[in-house]
Amino acid sequence: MAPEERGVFHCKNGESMNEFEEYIKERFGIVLPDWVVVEEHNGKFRIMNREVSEERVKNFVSKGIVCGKRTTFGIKPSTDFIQVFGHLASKNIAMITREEMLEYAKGKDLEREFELENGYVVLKFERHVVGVGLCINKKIRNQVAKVRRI
Amino acid sequence: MFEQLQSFCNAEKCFHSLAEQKNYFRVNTIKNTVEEFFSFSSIPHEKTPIPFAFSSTYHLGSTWENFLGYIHIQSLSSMIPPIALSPRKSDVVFDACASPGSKTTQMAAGMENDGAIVANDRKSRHPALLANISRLGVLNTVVVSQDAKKPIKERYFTKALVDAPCTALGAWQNAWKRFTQDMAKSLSRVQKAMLISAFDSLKPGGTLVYSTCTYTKEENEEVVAYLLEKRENAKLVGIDIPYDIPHENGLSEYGNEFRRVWRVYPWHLKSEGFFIAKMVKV
Repeated sequence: MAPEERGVFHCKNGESMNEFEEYIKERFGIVLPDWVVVEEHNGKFRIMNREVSEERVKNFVSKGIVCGKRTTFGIKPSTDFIQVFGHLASKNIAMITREEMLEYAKGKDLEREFELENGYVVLKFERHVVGVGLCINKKIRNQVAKVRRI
Repeated sequence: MFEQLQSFCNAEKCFHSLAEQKNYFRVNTIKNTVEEFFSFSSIPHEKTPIPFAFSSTYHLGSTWENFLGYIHIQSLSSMIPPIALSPRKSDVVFDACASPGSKTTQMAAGMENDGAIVANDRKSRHPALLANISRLGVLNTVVVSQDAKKPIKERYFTKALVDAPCTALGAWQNAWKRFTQDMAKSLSRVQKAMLISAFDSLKPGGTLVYSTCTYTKEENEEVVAYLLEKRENAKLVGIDIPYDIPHENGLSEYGNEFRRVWRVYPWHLKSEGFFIAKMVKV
């Protein structure tokens, strides 16, 4: 039986926003009209195109990519998601230097202080969206998964 | 070690030229065009016959461009099967043996993240596949884990790619040391079942590309000949690629039509050896 049929996926089919979509709109100003976001029962959200969301294949393992998950700090957008859609962000953006980007990609926290409110922020170097950071008391903590670090 | 292949290919040359392979990468056009990419990237590179692929002596895995999913490290010849299949935005594609996802993600880029790809492989091979799909921002893929020897859906897909498990003589020199004829025969049985199953999953008018990274007849021409024999509506067609890629034609002992298949040897591109055949379901 496919995960959908077990009730694992709660597809909104883009007709109404789920919590993830509401969060990224509120936090970053990102709106995703052309993509489908679904929530899995394990607290993870996935994003995919409409064709994939409607694809009826038995026993599928995953559709699209993980775009976020529920954490003790609220919903956390994934690095992979932000690297694709972060360019649409209009707020809570931290501009970093090339050196900071390289350190961040290695899994290091950022040393300097940023005038940003607490919560997740989009990190950008010039036009490049580097990923997501967690800002706590003006310091940005690294959120790059160990397997993704360089 | 070379005797079994010597009759139809220069086995010693195949083996020794594997050591001269270059490192290649592909620009992930989901995130940047090639022109945009080189407007900011300083990765030293050389052009190849494929416009979005480049060779480099750089340690690409630790670059920020790789971290951001702007590039994917992939052998040049392994980029040919997706180009031969050439999926478009409206296609629903079956990728029978998808992991680690180099060809899957290349097809997704060609489809501009539109349409759908059903990417199949054994569960133990999913971590690499899922990691590449995520890093490269691929949003048009469903990952499944099913026995590729049985059709996942009959008469459903518009295109299918079977990059079959093989003896890998075109990929690394160690494969030559463990190679036996029995291994090739055993894999040939699996490959035939996979190819038939992928063909049956195609809609009429659908296109199928079969590829391996090895040279044995049993795993290549014989597998394709088996499909043509078992399915009357299978037709072998030419590989019409818009790039000038050096190759040799398939072995004509299976019929003149086998001149339509490609054998890419390591010295052609300083990359892996590959066998590529393209068929349509009429």
